[in-house]
Amino acid sequence: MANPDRPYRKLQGRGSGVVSFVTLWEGDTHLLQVTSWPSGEGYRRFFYGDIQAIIIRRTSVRLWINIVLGVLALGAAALLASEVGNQKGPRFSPDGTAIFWLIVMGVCVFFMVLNSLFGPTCAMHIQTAIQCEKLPTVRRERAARKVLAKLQPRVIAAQSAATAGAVSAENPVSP
Amino acid sequence: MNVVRCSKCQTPLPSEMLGAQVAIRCPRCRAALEVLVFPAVHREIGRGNVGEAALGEGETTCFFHPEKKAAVVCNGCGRFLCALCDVPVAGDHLCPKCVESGRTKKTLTTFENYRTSYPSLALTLAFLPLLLYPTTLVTAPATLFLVIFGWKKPGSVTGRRRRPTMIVAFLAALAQCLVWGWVLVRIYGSVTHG
Repeated sequence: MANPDRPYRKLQGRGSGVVSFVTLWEGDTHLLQVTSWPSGEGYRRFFYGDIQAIIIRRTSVRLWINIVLGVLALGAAALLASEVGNQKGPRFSPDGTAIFWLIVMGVCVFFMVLNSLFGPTCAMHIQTAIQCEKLPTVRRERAARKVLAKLQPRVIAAQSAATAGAVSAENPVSP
Repeated sequence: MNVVRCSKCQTPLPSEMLGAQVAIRCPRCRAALEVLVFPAVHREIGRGNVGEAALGEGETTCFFHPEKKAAVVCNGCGRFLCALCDVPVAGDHLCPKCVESGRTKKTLTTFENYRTSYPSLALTLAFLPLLLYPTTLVTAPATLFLVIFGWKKPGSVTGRRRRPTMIVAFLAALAQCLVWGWVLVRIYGSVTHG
């Protein structure tokens, strides 16, 4: 049971927009999606009893990020190589331009490695009777599994209680 | 059973493909999917309960429908309600008037879809106008007013109050006001003394 002053617990992840960001909060009866703007917050609730399915779809975002960074790194490497080739003399002494391209290449490679280490990207959707909503805070499969591990027992418990209540209503015990 | 659809192309997924969190491929777009299905998918949206007719003279009837039998008591106002008037909200039974009252007076957070965030507003108003600093002559006092006005207002429904944010905004706005005060005094002094 949550603290009455803190009725929600924050789940992993944060989705960003141009002037807003989205966070996900776990409550006792529902999942709360909060969109924060400079002026206020918008709320969207997904009650555990209404969740029919959770769909995790692997996306190719990680691949495309690596492709873009790889192309930038190769471009920086090519420019660095031309700087080295243009230099006269047997010993290479890097000037400002060569150092700049070296830094660009290093940064691109660093983020490529980081992107690969973070794991596959995914899109996580919640399906109810009337909608199929994407959770913008979940973008990596690792994060999706952590969120799912927290949500699954709550959804099952809520729907089991609802089913038990419906069964007892249909079959009332006579005194 | 309700249909579970691929989140990319919205193709209905065959029920025989939906197991216990197994990886599958959409039959149409071949997207790699992992689908976890819950018992609610088998639940049909049934007809609403219109309430039973009251049978006898001494029977307790609904406050809003005297011809219908009372089924529950409103947790908000204590009126008897038939099954049609009963609105289950967050474990309570409420009548339509209490629901509307709770929604407009914002005592029922279940229906609240938006809340003004005074800390975020004050912080934005304290720092964003610095890009066009003459505007801070107006926005700095406005920030001070906003912090004082919003200090006791309810915070986020998540429970965060963000008082430190308001204090930072207040101090920034106060500093801007003091700078403007000094500038205006200097201008006044230079004008009066020629």
